[in-house]
Amino acid sequence: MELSTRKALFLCKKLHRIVSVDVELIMKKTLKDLKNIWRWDLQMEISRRRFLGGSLALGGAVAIGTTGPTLKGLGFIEGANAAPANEQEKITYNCCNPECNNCSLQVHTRNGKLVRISPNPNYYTRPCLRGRSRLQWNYHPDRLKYPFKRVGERGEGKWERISWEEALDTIATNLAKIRDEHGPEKVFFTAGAVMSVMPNSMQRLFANAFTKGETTNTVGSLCCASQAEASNASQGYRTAGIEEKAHSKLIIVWGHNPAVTYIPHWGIVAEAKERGAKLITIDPRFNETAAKSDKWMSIKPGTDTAMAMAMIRYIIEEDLYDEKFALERSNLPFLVNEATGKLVRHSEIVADGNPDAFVVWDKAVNGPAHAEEAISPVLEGSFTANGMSVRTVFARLRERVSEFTSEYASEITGVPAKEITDLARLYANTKPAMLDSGMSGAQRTNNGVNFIQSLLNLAALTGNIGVLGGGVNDTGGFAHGTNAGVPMPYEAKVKGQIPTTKLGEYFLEGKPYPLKAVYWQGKGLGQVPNANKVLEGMKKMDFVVVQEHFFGDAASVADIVLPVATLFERYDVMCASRSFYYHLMDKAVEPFMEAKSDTWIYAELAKRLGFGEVFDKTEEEFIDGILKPTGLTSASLRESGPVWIWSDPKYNKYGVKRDKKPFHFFQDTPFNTPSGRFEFHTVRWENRGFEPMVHFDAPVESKETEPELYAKYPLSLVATKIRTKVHSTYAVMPWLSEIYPKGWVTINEEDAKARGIKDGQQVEVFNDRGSVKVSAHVTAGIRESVVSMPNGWWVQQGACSSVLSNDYTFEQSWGHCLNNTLVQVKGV
Amino acid sequence: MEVATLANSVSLGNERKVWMLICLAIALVAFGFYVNQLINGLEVTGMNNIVSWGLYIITFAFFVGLSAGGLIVSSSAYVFKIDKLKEVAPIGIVVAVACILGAAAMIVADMGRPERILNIIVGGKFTSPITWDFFVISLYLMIGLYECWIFFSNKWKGKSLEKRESVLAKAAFISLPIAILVHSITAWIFGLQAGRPFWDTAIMAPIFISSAVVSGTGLLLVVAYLGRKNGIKGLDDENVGTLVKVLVGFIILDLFLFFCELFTLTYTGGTAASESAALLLTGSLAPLFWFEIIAGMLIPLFILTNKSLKRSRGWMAVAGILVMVAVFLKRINIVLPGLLVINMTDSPGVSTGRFVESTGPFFEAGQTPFSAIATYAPTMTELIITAGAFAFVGFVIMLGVELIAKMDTKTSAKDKQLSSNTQLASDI
Amino acid sequence: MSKRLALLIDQDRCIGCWTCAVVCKMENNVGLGNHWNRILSNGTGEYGETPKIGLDGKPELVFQPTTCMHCENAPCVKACPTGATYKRKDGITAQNYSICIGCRACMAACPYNARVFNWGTAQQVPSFEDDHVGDARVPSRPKGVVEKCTFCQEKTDAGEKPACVTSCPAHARVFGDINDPSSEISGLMSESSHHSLLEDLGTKPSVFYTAPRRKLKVSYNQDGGGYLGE
Repeated sequence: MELSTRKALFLCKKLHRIVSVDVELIMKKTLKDLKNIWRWDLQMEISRRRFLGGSLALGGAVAIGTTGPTLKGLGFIEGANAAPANEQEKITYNCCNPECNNCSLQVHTRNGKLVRISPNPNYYTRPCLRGRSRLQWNYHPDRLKYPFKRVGERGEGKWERISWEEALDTIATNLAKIRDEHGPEKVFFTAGAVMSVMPNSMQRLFANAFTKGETTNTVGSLCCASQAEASNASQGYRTAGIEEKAHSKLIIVWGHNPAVTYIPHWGIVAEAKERGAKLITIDPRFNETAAKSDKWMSIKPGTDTAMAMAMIRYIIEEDLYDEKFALERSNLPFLVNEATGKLVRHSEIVADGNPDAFVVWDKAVNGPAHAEEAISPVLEGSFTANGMSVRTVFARLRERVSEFTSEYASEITGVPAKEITDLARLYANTKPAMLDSGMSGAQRTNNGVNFIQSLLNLAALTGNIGVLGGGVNDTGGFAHGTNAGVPMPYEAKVKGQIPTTKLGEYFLEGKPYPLKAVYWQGKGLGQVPNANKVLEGMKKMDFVVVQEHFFGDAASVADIVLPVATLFERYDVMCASRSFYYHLMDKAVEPFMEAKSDTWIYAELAKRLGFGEVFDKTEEEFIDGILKPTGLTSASLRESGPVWIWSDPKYNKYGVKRDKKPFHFFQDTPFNTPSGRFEFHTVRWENRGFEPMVHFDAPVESKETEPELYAKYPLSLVATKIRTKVHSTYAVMPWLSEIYPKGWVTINEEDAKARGIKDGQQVEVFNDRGSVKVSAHVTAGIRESVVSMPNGWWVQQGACSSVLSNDYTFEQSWGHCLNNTLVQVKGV
Repeated sequence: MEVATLANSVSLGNERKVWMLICLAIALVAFGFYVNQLINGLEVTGMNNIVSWGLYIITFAFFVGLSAGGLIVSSSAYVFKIDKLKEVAPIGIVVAVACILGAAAMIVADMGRPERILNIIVGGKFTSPITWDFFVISLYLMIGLYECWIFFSNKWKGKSLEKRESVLAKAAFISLPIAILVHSITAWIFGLQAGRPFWDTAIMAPIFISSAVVSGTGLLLVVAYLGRKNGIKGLDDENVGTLVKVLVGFIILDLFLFFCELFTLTYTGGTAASESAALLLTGSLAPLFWFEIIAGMLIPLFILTNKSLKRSRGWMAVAGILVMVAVFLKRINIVLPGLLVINMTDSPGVSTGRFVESTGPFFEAGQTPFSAIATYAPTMTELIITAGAFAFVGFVIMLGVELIAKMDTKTSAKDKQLSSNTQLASDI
Repeated sequence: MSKRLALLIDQDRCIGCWTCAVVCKMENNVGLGNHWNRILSNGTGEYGETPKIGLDGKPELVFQPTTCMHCENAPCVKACPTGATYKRKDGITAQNYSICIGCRACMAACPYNARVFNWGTAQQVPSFEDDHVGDARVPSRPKGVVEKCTFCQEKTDAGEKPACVTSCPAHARVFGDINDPSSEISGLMSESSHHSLLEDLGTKPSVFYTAPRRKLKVSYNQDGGGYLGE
């Protein structure tokens, strides 16, 4: 009875095993020949097979083009990512597209249903728990199935299911009416941070055609506007040295948390550590990366620039800087007119001189000379040139940072003075050393631009730029560097702009002019600072359309809600972004219930609005058009798998190819700055009217700048990222919610004791902008007077940190300053 | 007088019949809840992956003890030739059979897939105390039913009491060891677990046996009280006096054994086992533990040794009830501390198997299913099904008493016919 | 010599990201509320994220993925009355769901609390009428039976590695036959010191951990190249 059943089962299992198709084995065979091509000669020997995993020590890659699968070049263990399909399964490949690591996904379907998501066996990263939970996203019980129309008051939560016909007709009619009565720019289009090309491009295309280019745009971003501004000004590009971490001897993680936000790339950091690299984390909170670090340095939020400037001072005073780099590749020797504070131009010293060229003091002629032609430029000194009193940038920098002794910086930042000088010395003496800022929380402050500039300065001063394993790692960086995109029918004539962080304020106050309609695609409203204000602002609109997967925060205040397809239900393309690869994001299943792809929705609306021909293409045709400059097509990508952007000059906008010879940005390329050099005194800011050199501004909304506010709200709030979300994405996945079902506030033991708060107790975190009730995590692992909340919960879920966040921004970058927030905490 | 006795027994029989009907009704209601449990699974109980055994197993162990206790007492009478106690045998057997049936009911109620119970026989593993328990309990039940058959079946009608007694004496030599074995094995289900430090003690079997005798004897005292009006054969004042002495002795033994256990653990301290002990002495189970000791053991001890109270059947019954409650609490106080204190207390703990839906607007977890702190509270379903088992046991006991009553009258009538020289004549 | 399949977890690499735990749920279709694999940490508090304070007064946090240990001397196998839990020749402690009677003796026996029970019919998102999430070779379990990590026996039988091993983004998990001296795991285990959990209970687990590396001394010498391991 039972025995024979067992036997039968056993036999069945054996049969099944024989019949199973091992996809991984097939791929292994075809890749066998190419195994050696991508090994490049570095001194590190790989003794253990498992170090190949995620190892970019073996760098370089060759794309085979269209014949057979492409190697992912940056190192992998053969078969280590195996998740072979069994014979009932159909496999397609996709790419996780939030603002994360953009890993390649192997998608398994059975009978038209998504059943598994695995790592792509031929890709160098393994997707994290969030990407793997996408199954639950596709079939979530609360996923929008139909279009809905609001009945009742906005925000009341009463909805009526309607047909697509009715929904699209309503939207088209309303949008046209508003455009015709009030002007096209009064319809505001906004979309979330999606790294793949199609969804946001389709909205942009629609908006462009609908408004004929006269749009209202956002400026700045919630993530990295300050980082971008500082990087572009100082070196002309953002950098991304993610794969280089494996070569670093010292990685200083500053306000960044790669153990949470860069999980798929952790293997690279692990490998660096195994080679003896030191890892130091600087953060107000003992975060998950600090848990893996050799040292945690705790710092007051918003004061990081002061510490970096103290380090710059130390390096200059102790002669630890790289003089060669300073003279040859930076603008430190350039002369600055002391009277105007501007860089001296060649045309100012020579009659027919080049107004775009700069001037140094040449020892050989004891006079000013063209920066690129001087024989022996001087790094430091004050001179008179053509009647102008001039000084080198280096001399001015020394003066600029002279105030920032370690003791002074220690007072400002709370970091012990000795630790600051020790770190400076360690950093200067270790080569290569990387400053891993990611999109640092430290640059999400009013000091953000200065902070990143100070990091870049540190790297440049110590000759760590253009060095493998050095530099300042910005996760956004080069990875976006492709020429792929959707051409727009009309020239952009932006009528007005709204800083991304100020959506609420601008909506409510009718700035730059009163908007009438909002077309909101996917974006997490709960991520915008001062989130309650945004909800209020949305309620003021005449017409709101939200295109989403759930009844999220924005949808809750919409007039029409449209169910949209997930990335498994449509075609899309990832053009590098965080992954350095082109991925075809292949459709795997039909859209769930009545969901439709963004492309279809915009095409239908376009038809009704009279410009249907703009969308007269299939998604795959759109993708082919997007990829045109590269020579790749959706079909070729499907065939080859992900293609490395450095494997062909056509694939990236820098026109470079990385092959066996180590190629490195800023080593073999000039800086993309007006001077062609690394700029400590940036021409860009000189031109824009901002302070061109590094400096420290006291944090806004702090004890120093707003003592009255501080008296009411004496705790600094910093927002942190959490393993189970990417911003507000994945916020409702059951598997992930089992790990972290509710938000919390992390509070220092002393602060908690002073308020009578015990670990696990319900508390209220509040300020003038709003209030949130969460449980308290009492720990010694956060600075006194600082509290942190994990970010990503939706306003409707409670525990939304953005309800409290400062929406301050500033013109230099329009950056997000949520880490300039003061709150108070009390027990309930 | 005979007529009067008969009349008495008939009217009291009606009262008993009403109680039997009530018990049957409760048991049926409980069965309805059990069917619900079969349909929905054990999630209707309060158990979780940490406290994976709860009220059912506790009651199972209690019933086994109650059953074994009764049988140990009555078998000892034959094995150690305590003549007076021999008369307790029938009621002892009835109690034993009823309780072991209750135990079986509880075990089946606790199983996730009760329809597969025969897997223990087919392909059963003899490394497991549960397999041993299954076989031994089956054997025990068969012996119990055999002895009942000896007492009640028509085949034995008319056979002299001496003949019966000789068969019973032989059976007792098997039934006593089996009774001890059955409860030792039940103890070993817990005591052989190295992974649960509180359970992992050599004196688990002795503790179970001594408390089994305590509860079994206590039950007999309660039955003696309930049957005081028409007199249950074998439970006259002298026998009751002997039972009291047995009970007193075993209460003292039981207290001693448990004291040894807890004292040893508390003295060393710092271990998971001592944490479990602390739960009992000063922790969340302290109210149950101290009630068990004071109200359940020490007060009955006082009652049973007090000259004036000793004579009252009512007080004996009170003592009996208190010790039964004590032993039930003891089962709780052995099973729960073993499960409540987990070996690896690192956060976030153990996956409890309970998914609590969020009360917010979206489907997701409202609480984490992980817990480093174990909790357990029996649900209504568990309590009702357990009550049903008790009701069923009560029903069977009362049925047994009916049979004993009939047995009594039949035997004495027959014997009267057979001989007038026997002592039995004086029983009328 | 017969196989002994084992798992080595590098606690220096492990960042406690929970990917292995979530993937296990997906691949094996484990119902909501149950986990075969969980990440314990030496932190405190509800989520284990509150770091412990070390002897030097500094916070520290170490992550420990914990699952069935596939003990060589398995107490659960001894406790199972029906043989539904048994040791395979390759060392895996396996579960036969069609024999299990749901008595939960194995759960009481397991010192690691590694086993979970289907208290009701497993709830899953997504749930399909005629199929289930994850690897099709993994059988569905009815309510009332015990389940636990199987070292993905359906995969290992086919020569693949368990899902948690192939999914770990930090490559912190190594799986293989420790009775084979030439296997990767044997090599790694002989190079580093490792430990198992609750070793003194005599269960002889097949899951091993290598401890996080000691913190490197940061030396700030002016000269000397800067790279120091001491």
